[in-house]
Amino acid sequence: MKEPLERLKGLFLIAVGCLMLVLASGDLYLSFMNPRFRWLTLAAGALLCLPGMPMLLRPGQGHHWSRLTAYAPFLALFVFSLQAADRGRAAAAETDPDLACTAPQIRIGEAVQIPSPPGIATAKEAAARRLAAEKRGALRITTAELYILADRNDPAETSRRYVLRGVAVRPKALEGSGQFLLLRTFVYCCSVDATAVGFLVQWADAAGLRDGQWVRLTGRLVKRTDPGPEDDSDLAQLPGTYFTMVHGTCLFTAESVEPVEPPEVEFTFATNEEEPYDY
Amino acid sequence: MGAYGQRTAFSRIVVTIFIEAAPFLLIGSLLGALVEEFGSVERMAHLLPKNTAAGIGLGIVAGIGLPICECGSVPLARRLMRKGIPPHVVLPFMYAAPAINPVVLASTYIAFKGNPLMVLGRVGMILPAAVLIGLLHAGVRSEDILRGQGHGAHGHGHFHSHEPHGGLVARFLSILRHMALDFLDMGRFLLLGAAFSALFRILIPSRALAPLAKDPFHRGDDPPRRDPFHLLRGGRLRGGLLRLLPARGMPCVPRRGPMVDLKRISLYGSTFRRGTALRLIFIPILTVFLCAAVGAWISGVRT
Repeated sequence: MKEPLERLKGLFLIAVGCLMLVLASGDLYLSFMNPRFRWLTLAAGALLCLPGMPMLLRPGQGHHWSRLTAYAPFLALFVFSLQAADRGRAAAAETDPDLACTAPQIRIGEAVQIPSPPGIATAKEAAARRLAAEKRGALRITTAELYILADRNDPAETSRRYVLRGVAVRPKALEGSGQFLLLRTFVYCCSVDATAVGFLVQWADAAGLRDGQWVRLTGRLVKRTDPGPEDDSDLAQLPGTYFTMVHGTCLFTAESVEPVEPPEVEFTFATNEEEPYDY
Repeated sequence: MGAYGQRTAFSRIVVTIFIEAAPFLLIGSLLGALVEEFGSVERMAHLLPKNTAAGIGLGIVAGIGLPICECGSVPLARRLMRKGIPPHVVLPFMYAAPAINPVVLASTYIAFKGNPLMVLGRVGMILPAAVLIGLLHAGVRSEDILRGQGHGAHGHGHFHSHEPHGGLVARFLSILRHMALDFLDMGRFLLLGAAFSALFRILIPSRALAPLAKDPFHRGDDPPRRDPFHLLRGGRLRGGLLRLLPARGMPCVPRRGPMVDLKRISLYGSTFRRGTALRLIFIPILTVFLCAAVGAWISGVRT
């Protein structure tokens, strides 16, 4: 009489294993984990399916039926997975009026289509400047990697020109300062530790930028003269992140700022400490 | 975030924690199944030292030698105790295995720019908790501290072990079955722990933690808050929480974390009876806090 329960457990295992295989096999995995752990999730998914088969086909004696409710959390896992996988709807998430004053809400994944505001160079001009800068040796790099370079404080590295991509954020604290924040979500291990990493950017036409606008910057690092905010997370926060890290001693002075489409994968995962860097 | 955004964020955190921890829980369940299938009570009892201190030491050394994640160490510990290894050996092992094995010690060394003091600090903060939990459980029987409803207790609340039997295929299937049932047993509590962690993340904004992160031991005018991150190598950019903490509080996170966090609290609650679960939760918090406080006081006196 208890065999069907054992079969159900086998089915549970196979279902959980398949769920892990599905989550790990596509781009969706990047919403949860750093892709370097993909093999681990795939292996665990496959290993979970393995014992499920004999339990399903040759069941032993199981527990009493009443214990079936104990496995309800696994059913919840499937519901959560479906909801978490719905990235399109997540991008349309509402904004939080409580956070709006200090933490601009940027809809990750939403294509930003805005005309260049007055003051910002046209896309053509900005692209021309960037290309010229790249010809002069501007290096494409992520905000997280540049953060590491800035921490090293090696003049040979900090004096170079860099090209960065990220989300422009203009918290109230920076209004009228000719500055904005360039942030990009960095995932070290999994989305739970996702952190917005970036720099304070000096750009004369910062007022023309809109919160949440994806931009590409060309410029260089200089020393910050201000002490920096007491708590970066209070200054700005990107959705899906719990902390914000704005470099405390270096500031990015932009030569060109051009609005761009969000990249296919908004997160960055790599922390190369030498070339080639990610972008 | 609005209600929908919060629900999505909650779901994403739960799923992420599960798929991150599941492989390690599976490894622990597999090791536990191997112990169940191949471990002989008599053989194990013969190998164990009679002396309590030596038993605690053995547990710690075994933990150092077996790199196993915090989630995997709990089902393995349960299996070992069901096989007759006394709690004063197993519980120190359970603390030591995820926290001071060679892999994490090497990671600590690299993460903190090759600073040996951070490695020694890690070992020094975890050993007191491991020793204390061992001493508190000297002479205690496994069945007095384990919950009796798990798979290993066969659902009727008492403990017995089976000697290996059957052919190769039968034993292989038996290992798979033990592994699967342990995984299911512990996995649901892992999910509950993940849900608590997600709730914590959703309901408590990071800026709410900032006032708690003031450094009571700090002297002088220079702000100490930026120090900890600069100790870290760039590859450890996951330092958001560490960045928020005062310099002297930062080392506590990698020490206490592998011994007790929200998902592990859930696993403790499912595996151990209330008194032991509470001891397992509060001893590391207390010992790591005291060690950090003493260390901070000493360094404060020096400066």
